[in-house]
Amino acid sequence: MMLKSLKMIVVLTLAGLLSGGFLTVVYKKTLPEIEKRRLEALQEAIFVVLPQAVDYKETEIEGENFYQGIDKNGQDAGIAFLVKGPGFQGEIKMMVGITQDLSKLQNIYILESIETPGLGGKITGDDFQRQFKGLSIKDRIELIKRGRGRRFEAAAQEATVEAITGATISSRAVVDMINRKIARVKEVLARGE
Amino acid sequence: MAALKNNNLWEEFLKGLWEQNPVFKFLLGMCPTLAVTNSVINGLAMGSAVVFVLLCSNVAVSIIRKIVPHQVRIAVFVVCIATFVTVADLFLKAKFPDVSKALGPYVPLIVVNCIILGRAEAFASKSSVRRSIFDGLGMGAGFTLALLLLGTVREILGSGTLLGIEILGGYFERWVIMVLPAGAFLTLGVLIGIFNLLSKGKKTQDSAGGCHTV
Repeated sequence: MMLKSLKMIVVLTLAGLLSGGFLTVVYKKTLPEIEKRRLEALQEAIFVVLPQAVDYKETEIEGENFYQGIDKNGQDAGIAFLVKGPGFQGEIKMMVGITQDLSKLQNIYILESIETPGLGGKITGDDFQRQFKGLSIKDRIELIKRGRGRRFEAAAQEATVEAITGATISSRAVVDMINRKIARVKEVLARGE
Repeated sequence: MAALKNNNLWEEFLKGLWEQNPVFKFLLGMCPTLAVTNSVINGLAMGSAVVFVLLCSNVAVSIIRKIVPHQVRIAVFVVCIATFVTVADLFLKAKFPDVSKALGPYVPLIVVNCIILGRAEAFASKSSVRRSIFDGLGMGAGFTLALLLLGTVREILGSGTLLGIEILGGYFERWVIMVLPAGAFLTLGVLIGIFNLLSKGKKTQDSAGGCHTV
């Protein structure tokens, strides 16, 4: 009886050790490449939301991470930062780029979302995201719903974004979290100056 | 599960494709089957990952089958499976990050895919390494086949594309439901029905043929 229990313990422990050892090796081997991918995704996002930037510098103020864009002449090309928040199905993560004078949005780029495919999932599409280009952020961005039969007209000056039909909650989530973050960004950067 | 007949190696492989197809016959691995078949490429990626894990775990379980005490076999099998799934997950994250993002949480969920634990328990723990390899390949192929079928139907009807390429023109109103879970259930149900219909036809043929042999 004692021998049987001992065998069980030995086998299980060995299984655990072998598994752990093997995984440690594989993990170490894949770590550099995984880190590279993560950085690539981040950089790609930064350059999408700051179209003039060819380089960037990462800074941290009051716990908030900012990516200062630098254009090809070495001048400031705008500021990018991550925005996270709850969507309809799960967390939405995006990169947002604003102009250096904090007056307009340059672009947004949804990095992660698990919204309903075909509906809320459309927030990752170009049609929705390009509405944010050049939007004024002097005040909050408003979400509007298109009435049936009314043609949507670009309203960059009025800072409005049209919600996706059938995906109001996802659309509103995106707009709300951008508003919240921009308010915080303005606050932090004002103090920083 | 069916008693282990004495198949040759080729039969060991083939049975996973039709006669003992894990998805259509045994209704195993339903979770990924329903979740990642909204496009063919996702189904293919998941199928490949499962083939890899199934092969590795079948081989590993078969190798250690004589030294693992009966009472702790499930725990040991699961440790094996989880190890290989983690390897597959890390590999995807490093080499194919887009696929990894598309499959999302369903790669780690391969650990609890009933097909893998089921084959480990019902077959690999009682068979030679060689047989286990063919069984793993066959079951994995059968699973991938099922995913491809479902993925094709759902992607064409739901997005109008195949492997991301537009093949239906603008005239076809996309059946968005096909991309959603409800569409997955509907498609799967229809496919299982067709499978059963075809299998029944085969079975009556065999029994009729049996009359000829003495």
